[in-house]
Amino acid sequence: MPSELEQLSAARAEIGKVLLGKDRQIQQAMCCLLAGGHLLVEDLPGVGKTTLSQAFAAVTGLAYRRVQFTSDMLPSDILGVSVFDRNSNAFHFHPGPVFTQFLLVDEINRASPKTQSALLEAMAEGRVTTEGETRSLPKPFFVIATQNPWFQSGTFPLPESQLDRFLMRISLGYPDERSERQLLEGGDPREMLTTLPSCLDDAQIQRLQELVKRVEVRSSVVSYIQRLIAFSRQDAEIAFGLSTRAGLALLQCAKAWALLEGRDYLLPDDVQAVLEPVAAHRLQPAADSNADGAELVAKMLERVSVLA
Amino acid sequence: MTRTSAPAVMWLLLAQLAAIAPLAPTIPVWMVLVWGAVAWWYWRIVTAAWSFPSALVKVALVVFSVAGIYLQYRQWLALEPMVATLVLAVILKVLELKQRRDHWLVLLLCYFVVACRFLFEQQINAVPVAVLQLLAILAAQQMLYREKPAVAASVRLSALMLIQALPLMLFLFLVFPRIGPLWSMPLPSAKAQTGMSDELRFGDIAELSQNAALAFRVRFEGGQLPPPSQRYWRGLVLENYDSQRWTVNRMGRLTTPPPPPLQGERQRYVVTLEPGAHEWLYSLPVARVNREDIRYAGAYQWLPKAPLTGRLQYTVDSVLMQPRTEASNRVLQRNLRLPGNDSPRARELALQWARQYPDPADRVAAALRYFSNSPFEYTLKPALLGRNNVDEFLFESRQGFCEHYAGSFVFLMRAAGVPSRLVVGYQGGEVNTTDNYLLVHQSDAHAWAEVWLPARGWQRIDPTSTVAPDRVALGADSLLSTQQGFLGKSPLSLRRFDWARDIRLYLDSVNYAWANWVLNYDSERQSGVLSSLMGGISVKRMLVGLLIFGALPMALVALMMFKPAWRASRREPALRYYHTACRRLARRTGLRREPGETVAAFSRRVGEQAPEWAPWFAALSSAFERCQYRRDSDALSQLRALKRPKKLSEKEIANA
Repeated sequence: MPSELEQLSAARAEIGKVLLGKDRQIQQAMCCLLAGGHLLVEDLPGVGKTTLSQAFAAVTGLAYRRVQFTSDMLPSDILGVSVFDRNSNAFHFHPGPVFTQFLLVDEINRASPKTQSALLEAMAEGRVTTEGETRSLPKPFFVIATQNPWFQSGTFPLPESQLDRFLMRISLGYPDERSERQLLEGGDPREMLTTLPSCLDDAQIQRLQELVKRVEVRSSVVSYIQRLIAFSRQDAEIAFGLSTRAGLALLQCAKAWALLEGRDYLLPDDVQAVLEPVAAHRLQPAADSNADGAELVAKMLERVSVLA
Repeated sequence: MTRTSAPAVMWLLLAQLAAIAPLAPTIPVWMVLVWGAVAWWYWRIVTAAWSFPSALVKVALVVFSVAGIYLQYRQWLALEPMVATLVLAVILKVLELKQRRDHWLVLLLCYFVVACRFLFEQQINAVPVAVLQLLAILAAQQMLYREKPAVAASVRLSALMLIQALPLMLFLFLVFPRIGPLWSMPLPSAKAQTGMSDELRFGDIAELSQNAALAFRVRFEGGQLPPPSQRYWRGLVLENYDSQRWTVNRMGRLTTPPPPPLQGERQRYVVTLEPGAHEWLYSLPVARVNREDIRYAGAYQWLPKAPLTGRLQYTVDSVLMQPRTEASNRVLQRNLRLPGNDSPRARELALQWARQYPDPADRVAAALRYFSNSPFEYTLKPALLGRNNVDEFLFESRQGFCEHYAGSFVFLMRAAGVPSRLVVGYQGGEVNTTDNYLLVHQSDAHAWAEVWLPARGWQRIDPTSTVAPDRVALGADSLLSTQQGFLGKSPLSLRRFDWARDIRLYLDSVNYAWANWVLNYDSERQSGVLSSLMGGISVKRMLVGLLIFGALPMALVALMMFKPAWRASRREPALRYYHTACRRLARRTGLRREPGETVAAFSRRVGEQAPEWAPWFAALSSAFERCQYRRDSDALSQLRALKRPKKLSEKEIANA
């Protein structure tokens, strides 16, 4: 086993010490990072969204920045701005918070659509263009955005096309009874965060991302993915089926999942494991259906045949 | 188990009703009540108010219903009770509809029920009804698979499917071999249907002529119809008399005399007998029929060799001039026989004529004169006659129908020493001007006489025409429609209105064309049509070609479509091994992989629910995964080795 993989499992264990009882979500977030995508966390305040991202930042050893989105934010607040320097008699670019390796965007739906799309463009392209000049973002570049979907007054909810930019959408949910008790009895998680060792570095993460690309994919799994997509396009309860980009995302995440499971080949099980975080926010239920994305995904998993 | 949606259940019940309802005249009426009760019950089951009946209730239902059918028909080996049993099965199966497969079964049986109706009804108006029935059943089949009820879409798709099936239907209609029935079932109602019988009492034909049903149709070649006075459709000859009734001489029928020679101008015509009402054939004298299955039975009678079950069409050549024919002494003796001593006054009168006129022709004329000079009345409702019926008719009541006149005439002639016999058949017929053919109804039934004169042979004498000349000249209904009771309640009473008559005749010509071109499309016509269409290609060759180029590829396509697992396993042996092993596991444990369950997940489930098989199945699953999802050349041979299920013993389980 390459040392990156050992480090990876160590990193997962470290995060698990802070974020109790959320192993699956930690693995999903890891998967998103390794797949080279960005993560949207939807949940109520106070269930550990910030803790998750801070722990992530600590163990991955990536340069970390955090932005709290508000309604009066401008794109330049994120991307950066050029300021005239009297000494050198020239404009100097002051990079915004987006120029980092790991960006936490809190409450992404509070900012205006203009600011949102500036960020999303940077996420999609991996570079920023301001004042006619294009600047590359550092690598790896990983964004965790959070939003609270239940209290929407004064917010600008992300439209479906923007949601598609996030490789995965997860929610944390309340911890189980045992973990919660442990949390209440234990120390302040914020203090524990400072003690987390960094298990990985950016080079290792990039190597891991390379390993994901090398996961073996046989045609039988690709056929399964195609059957899933085809089902989503035919089902009467789904208004719009999964796009080709969603199919690519599914494959990419499934490969990362396989690596996290310690395999160098892809199984339909991996596809099933990542289908909900990858597909649920991309599926639009039909007008007369009262199913939500998660229920539609459950239906796909039940109905679509795994073996040809 | 797949739950069926409420609209699908509704459609299933409706389709079932649609299939059964047109059979209502055939099946017992109480079956409709059974359907209603069963449908209600099932609806309650679907809405979760009631539960499925227990085995005991089901057995009781079957026993009572089958007993009901038996009480209704009092026999089993006939078509009607069998169809009723089928319908009953279709109805009661509803109480067992648990899986989608059961719904399918009921709907497929409904197609069979629809087809059964054509055993009883083959008129063209049965066709649109059948189309509606098929639409309903097809729609019900689709509803089983629709997530949301979409009635319009279902019906539209059903109609489309029927239209798509049309070319195939036409093709099969043209080329499918017409095989004779492998067995035949008597229709109970065929006996009950009215028509000529082979014996005659006074009053029989009067009763028959109340019947407006069609007896047969005739189309003349060249379109030339004989004059009404020549339209004597001879059926059979009644030679035996036992003082009450006239019967067929069965002994005479056993011989097969050569058919009479045809001399003079021939007329060719095609007779289409309606099904069910006939035991013999009708033709104009003197006739000849050239067909394998029809034989000549003497005295210008033609008989089918086997009992008639359905519609029969035959071509006849006739010469309307009756030739001079010889008759053997035995035949003449038989036609002079007058057993018993009933009706002494009639015998006395005849003997008086015999003494008075040496020439038999004069005796015939004297009898006809007697009929025309006495106050005889032609009526449908003659007085009932007692033991000396001929005497009572000739000298007292003097009211009668054709069989009274013909019967007493033959009686008088035999008593006067002139050989004579009674002939029954039909006289006249209605001309369908739309298509220029002749319709002969049961109401045209008639009886007349034939006498043998040494100089001229057998001669037709119709004493009815001397009493009521219009009966022969204009037809039965024109004469009798003024009489109370004649066809009073039948659709034929509309005959008085010209427009109604036109419509009726037009509809009949449509039905006749249907009978000619569809119902009578037999193997003979088939080969005729095929050879005229394709030149030298025979039916057999067509069928072989059809089989090779049509059925075989279709079967292969169907196999590919319906057996995706089979299709895949042809390509990938690993899949085949895995599916085989899964089938074997299912046979032993009942555990089946759900379609959305991955190999590993199923293996885990087997581990929980059937631990004694778990080690084997886990190894198999792992080998299969390595085969299917990664490049592992050894995995296939391992998989092959693991095909056979291996169970752990109790001890091994305990140790594990």
